[in-house]
Amino acid sequence: MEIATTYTEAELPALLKARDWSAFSFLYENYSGALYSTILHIIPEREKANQVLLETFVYIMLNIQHYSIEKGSLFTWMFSIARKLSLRVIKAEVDGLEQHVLDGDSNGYGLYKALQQLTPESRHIFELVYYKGYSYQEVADRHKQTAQAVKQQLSKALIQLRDILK
Amino acid sequence: MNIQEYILSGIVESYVLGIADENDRGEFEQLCTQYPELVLARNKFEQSLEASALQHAVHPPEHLKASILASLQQPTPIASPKVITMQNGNMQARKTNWQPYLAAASVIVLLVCGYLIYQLRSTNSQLLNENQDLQARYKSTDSILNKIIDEQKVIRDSNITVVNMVGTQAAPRSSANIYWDSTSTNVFLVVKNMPKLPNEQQYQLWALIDGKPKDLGVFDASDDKVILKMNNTQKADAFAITIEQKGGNKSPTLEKMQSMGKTNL
Repeated sequence: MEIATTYTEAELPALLKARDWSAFSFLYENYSGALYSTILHIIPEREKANQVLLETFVYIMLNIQHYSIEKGSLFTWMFSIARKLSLRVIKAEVDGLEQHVLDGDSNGYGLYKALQQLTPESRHIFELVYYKGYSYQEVADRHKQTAQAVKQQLSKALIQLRDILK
Repeated sequence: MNIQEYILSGIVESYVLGIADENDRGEFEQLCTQYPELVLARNKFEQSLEASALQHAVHPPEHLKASILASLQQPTPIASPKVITMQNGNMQARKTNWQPYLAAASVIVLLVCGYLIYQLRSTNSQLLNENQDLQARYKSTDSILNKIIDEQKVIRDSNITVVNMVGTQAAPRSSANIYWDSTSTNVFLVVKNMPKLPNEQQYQLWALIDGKPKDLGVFDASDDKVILKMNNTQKADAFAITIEQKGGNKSPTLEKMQSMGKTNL
């Protein structure tokens, strides 16, 4: 699809608030792929991922007035929404069920390539927290550790990740 | 606080990725207002994360954009604009399941509709009955009015002979008026006060012509306040009312004569 106008990330929120569909179209064309990739990492099933992407954009448009530049970039905000809406789906699905093994279906999506470079331990904790939505305490219970220890391990993973993404 | 240590602690990434808990987020946002270098570090990670995400983008199916636009542009959005707090690491499923509410609402709507239709129908039949009742009353009133008008005509007509029937000794209170039109030979009777009779009996009106009675028809005590058209007679010396069996007799039972009046001739 051809995009008539391009916008900067800074001018988008006000236009989206005013329901400027040209701005929305730009937002979608520019970011849907990145968000979709993240969603697929959490939910490999395409049909469900499609639904979450739809919900993500609807959520973005209905809550754009709550976005604030002081708290981070528009992309960070949207990225976070896509992740949380995805986690909500898998949480609803596995509610009450034990889930020990991470499935390998999400290969190639989201931060997959960056995560490949983490140490296996760091990667495991990062995936549990970021892609499965576990709390520190839940991870700690699973690995017979303290929540504080999990938090420290995750911090290490995050620092590694930052350096990988640089 | 050593801000450099803080920046390198992993909190920046944790915050940007949305993993940090409420307390850490609050602290981070607070410190961002004080330390520009923290904001810089945040911006830097955001940019590298965005760049990586854009690099590994997967294009969603083509039809999805139209679906999203349709969802957003329909008059009532599919999602209510309720704010879901996105700050906590663990977001509970808060999606309201509207289906039972919708089902309940439609049942209520159905019941209300049924009740309204029932109401409408019963009101309709009630109105119909009332209308019929009014029509019947109107007809009856109309016929009474016509009778009164006829009565007035009869009374005013100059050819009319009015005979005041007075009670006999057998029935001193009985009274009636005869209006006799000698031109048209019409005879009208107005009951003023005649005692009620047993069911098997009726009053009978006679014209006396040269001493002989002529039957002019029967009537009841209840026919008061209206004008009764009796049989015609060309001649009459007098009129008499007797009590006879129901339907009348060929000849009057004179001992049962109730009232009598002579024409003024």
